[in-house]
Amino acid sequence: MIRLFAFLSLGTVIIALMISGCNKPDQKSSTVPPKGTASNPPATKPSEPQPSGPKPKADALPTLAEISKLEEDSDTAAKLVGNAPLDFGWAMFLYTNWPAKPGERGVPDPGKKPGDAGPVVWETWKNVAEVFLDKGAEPPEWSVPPVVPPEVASTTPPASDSGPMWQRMTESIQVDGFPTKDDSGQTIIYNVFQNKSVFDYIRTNGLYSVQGQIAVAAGSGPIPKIDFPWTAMEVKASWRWLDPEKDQAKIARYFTAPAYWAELDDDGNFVKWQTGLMGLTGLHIISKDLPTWVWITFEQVDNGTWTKAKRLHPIPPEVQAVNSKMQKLLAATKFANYELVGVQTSFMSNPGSPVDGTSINTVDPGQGGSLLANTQIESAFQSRSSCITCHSIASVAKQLPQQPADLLRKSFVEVGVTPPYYVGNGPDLAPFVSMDFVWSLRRARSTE
Amino acid sequence: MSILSLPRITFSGKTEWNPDTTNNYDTYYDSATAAPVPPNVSRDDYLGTLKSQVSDQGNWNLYGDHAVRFVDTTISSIQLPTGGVTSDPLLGKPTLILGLVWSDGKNPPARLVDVDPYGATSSQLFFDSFQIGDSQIGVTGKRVDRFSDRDFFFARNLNLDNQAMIAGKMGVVWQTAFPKDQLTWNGLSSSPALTAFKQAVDASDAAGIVVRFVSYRTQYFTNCKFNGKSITTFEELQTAYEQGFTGRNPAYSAVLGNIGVWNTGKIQSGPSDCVLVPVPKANVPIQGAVTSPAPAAIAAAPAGSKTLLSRQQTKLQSSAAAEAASTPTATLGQSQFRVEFDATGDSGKVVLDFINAVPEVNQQLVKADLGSIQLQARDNNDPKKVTLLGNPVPYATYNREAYTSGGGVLTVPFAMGASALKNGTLEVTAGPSTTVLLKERPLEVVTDSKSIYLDEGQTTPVQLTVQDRGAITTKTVLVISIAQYFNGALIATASSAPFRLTDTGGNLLPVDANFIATIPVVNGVATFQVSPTMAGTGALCYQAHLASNAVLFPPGLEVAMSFSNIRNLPWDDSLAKFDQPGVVIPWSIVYENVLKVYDLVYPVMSLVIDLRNKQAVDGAGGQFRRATALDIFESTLYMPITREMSQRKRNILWRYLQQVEMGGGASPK
Repeated sequence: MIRLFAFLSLGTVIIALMISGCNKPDQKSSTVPPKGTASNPPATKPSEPQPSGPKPKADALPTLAEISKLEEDSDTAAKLVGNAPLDFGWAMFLYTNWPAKPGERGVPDPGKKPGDAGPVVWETWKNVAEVFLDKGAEPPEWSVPPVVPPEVASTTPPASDSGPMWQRMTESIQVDGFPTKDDSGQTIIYNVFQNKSVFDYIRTNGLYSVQGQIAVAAGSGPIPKIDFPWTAMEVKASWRWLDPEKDQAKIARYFTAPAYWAELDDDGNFVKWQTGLMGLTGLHIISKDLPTWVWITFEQVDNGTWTKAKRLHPIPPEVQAVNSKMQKLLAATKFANYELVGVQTSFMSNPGSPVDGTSINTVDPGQGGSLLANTQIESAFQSRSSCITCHSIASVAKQLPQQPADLLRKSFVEVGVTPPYYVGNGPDLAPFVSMDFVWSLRRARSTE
Repeated sequence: MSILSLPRITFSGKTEWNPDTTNNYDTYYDSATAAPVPPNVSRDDYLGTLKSQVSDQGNWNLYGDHAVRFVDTTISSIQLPTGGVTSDPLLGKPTLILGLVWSDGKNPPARLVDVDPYGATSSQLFFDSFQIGDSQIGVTGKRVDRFSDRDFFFARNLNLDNQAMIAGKMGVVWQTAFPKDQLTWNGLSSSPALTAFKQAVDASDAAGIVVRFVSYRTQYFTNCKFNGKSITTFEELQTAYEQGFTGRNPAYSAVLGNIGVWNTGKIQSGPSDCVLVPVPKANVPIQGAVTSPAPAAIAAAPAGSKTLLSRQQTKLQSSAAAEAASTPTATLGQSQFRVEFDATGDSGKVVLDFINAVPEVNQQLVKADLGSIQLQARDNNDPKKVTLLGNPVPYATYNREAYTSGGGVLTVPFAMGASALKNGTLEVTAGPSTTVLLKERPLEVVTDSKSIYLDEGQTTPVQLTVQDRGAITTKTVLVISIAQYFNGALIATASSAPFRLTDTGGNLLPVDANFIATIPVVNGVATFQVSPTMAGTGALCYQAHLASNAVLFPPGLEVAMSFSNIRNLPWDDSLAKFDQPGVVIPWSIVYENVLKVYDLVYPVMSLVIDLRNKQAVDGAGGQFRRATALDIFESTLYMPITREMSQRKRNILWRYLQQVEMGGGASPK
């Protein structure tokens, strides 16, 4: 069965879902049934009928007000995930890449539209480097702006789409332990951001230190378990260095930002800050509109040509069709050079669904686990990359490690298959305790 | 049933070997401490030395990753009890030995690892599955035990064309087995031959399938390129390394193998039939037109070159010189046989596993013409009495074509002499003087514990089985004598013994004046325990005999004997102070003591993850932690590939990685 997702105006879909009886007060936590789980795959019913009353213009970008509803009404969001997951993916991309309101972290600017100059919403979220501090110290509250090292702050940032706001880069190695490079041989670099819901939850409940996490796992913390609110979101971005003089043609096709990155010597000692212009090659977006979260990833369309990572599984036709229409609507912006790779809502394949089903596990077809991989972020293990499964293993021990064989967190590396990563239903975590799919928590440091 | 019974599937092709060769040299690598020589050398200086000495030392593959692959290896024949199969979709299908890898990739390789990196008789293949056919038609076996090498034939290729180098003259056999419950069958409905094979495997007296193959005529410098130019000599290789070459220089062997039914009650690694051992120094002249090179031309490898077979180097070079000086002669390699008597018991056939028996004379794999080969039985009670068995086996029956198509199996029917065979031992003769080249060794000690790794303080059981003419012995007055060898030499005193041998109750095995231990055989089996007394590599050698008899062991380990190779891992007591909770482990300790040996001796690893770089190691911490866990020791995912990491070093690494985790992971702070 092949589902046809004739693209409607995303705004139309959102409004339709709202009018269909989902006008509930803003909710802090979701009461939506757990759709998209292994035992309850996403519904495959067609889109909701057009509402009566004034109709928004067809084939137009949704307005900020329309997209923001997805952050205000959990039922609306969950229904869109279930009924039109690709539209949901693009909605999240638009929302997080909306120009940010100056002076307020994480708030989209209603006076601007996508592609307008300045940092975008997710760039103003908390960088994980601001959240997980030395000795597990409590991070400053949300509104405190990021601290840029003086030697970077005193440097004029290169002209970019983000404006003069310096971006801190935090890692150069993917979760499989390997880096990937662009066509000039430079390593792709990453940073991770948390929205206010995630940050406040971490800060309020002491999850910014290893000991705080262990306390919750052991039952002595302020909360019975780690369970982020439905409004929680994170992004992981992948970037490549761009030479403002030599890479003009490429710069025209990348969303760009000024960035700084710690250069270390072989022994891990700080050498200096490397600064420069970076172009966005990939963007993971995760959103807790389902109990098992929704996993969305976008890539810059030239990645296959301009980086060394090649796509293993083609983007499904249904997704390409949605991308084509959205890219036309974004033609006046650099975001037209980005494409949705996929949306993952389920551990297992859902044949016939444009999500999950098309990302069929071709390594072990009988296993039927769904796959999703970004060539920039899961370059070398795309055949066994399942965001939802790997993140389901995010966990913490109930006590500090003492012996060499003790683990602080359950390993996400399964052996016995090739390559050795988890796909399909997540494993039993015992004796570890779940961190609610949030692997960024493993950046927490010990207070000792 | 066994390889020598039907059904039998034969495969042939090539094997690609890509070992790292630096650890073969005690001037570069200390196998007792598992450290580079000298230990405090920098990476640049160490690699610089290696590269500058390639031409002189013959170190032919600095950047090897120990990968092993079957190349163009396909199923070449199928023999069923009803006869040879001439048409079946299984014919021509590939045969693959497969590992697992950390990243996406097709047909990941197995890994070749020597228990004793300096030696030539302790190789193993770590792998994860063995695929016969493909996912459409075939059978795949999940690994239960490694392939270990055996039946070494150092002079298998007589090299009359003077083209062989390094280990090119050697032939060696590999064997393992796969239980029924580890087999996955595909396409049975499409392949009558596969169906017939499976029916035999499903029989109640069958345990699964056994795979036995030989590697021979290894060739070097056939597939190495740098900057678009082929590298064909040591000198070119050295120049390439010095100019920055970090690529592969694999070797290629011919391979011929058989897949048969694995009998219940038989060990996996063989032998499972009667054993024929070469008669020392016996040889026969080669018939037919052959060429013999001038003595000077034999030295194809660099003067002073250490070959892959460091300890065997002298033996190889001296035997090569002897061959060149006189009329070419040949002997036969260690083999097995099985006797099937007809219903009357007066006649039958001898089925010989000659997969590694008859030498070749050149790179074209022309078989040495020994003339007709004749079987005979020598009377147990009257050693002068021999009875011929069957007709002479002419050259046409064991030439290259027959060898390849028949999987090296020869069948010799006999109409008379059954009684002589039952009351005697089989011999294989050849040459104008009817020289006995192979003699049956009726009592054979067999064990699946061919390759053992021992950590400090570790004790491991070893089970030995005594076969009497291929069947588990029922004799009740047998013992097994066990000799210890260390660095290739027989150990004669307790103070120099690398192993402590005890019975299952922990009591030391009794030893005689020559420090030879004995253990009684009960119902054909003897079990003892071994633990290390010092770091280093050695072997335990076994002989089964009547308790009333005495046996001698040679001063140096001889390959025709039954033995287990053992590596006692380094005793890293100096690191004990770091192996404590709460002790901060500096990165320098981890690099210098745990990772440096891999960075230097196996530099290909740092091309994957730079082991000298803290951030790179920290960033792959989850993988390092998983890859060094002993529960995957048998898998190709295990790192270190060469299996020399001690538990102490593992602890240091793991405690360090815990520190990294407690510090928030690998991200720069």
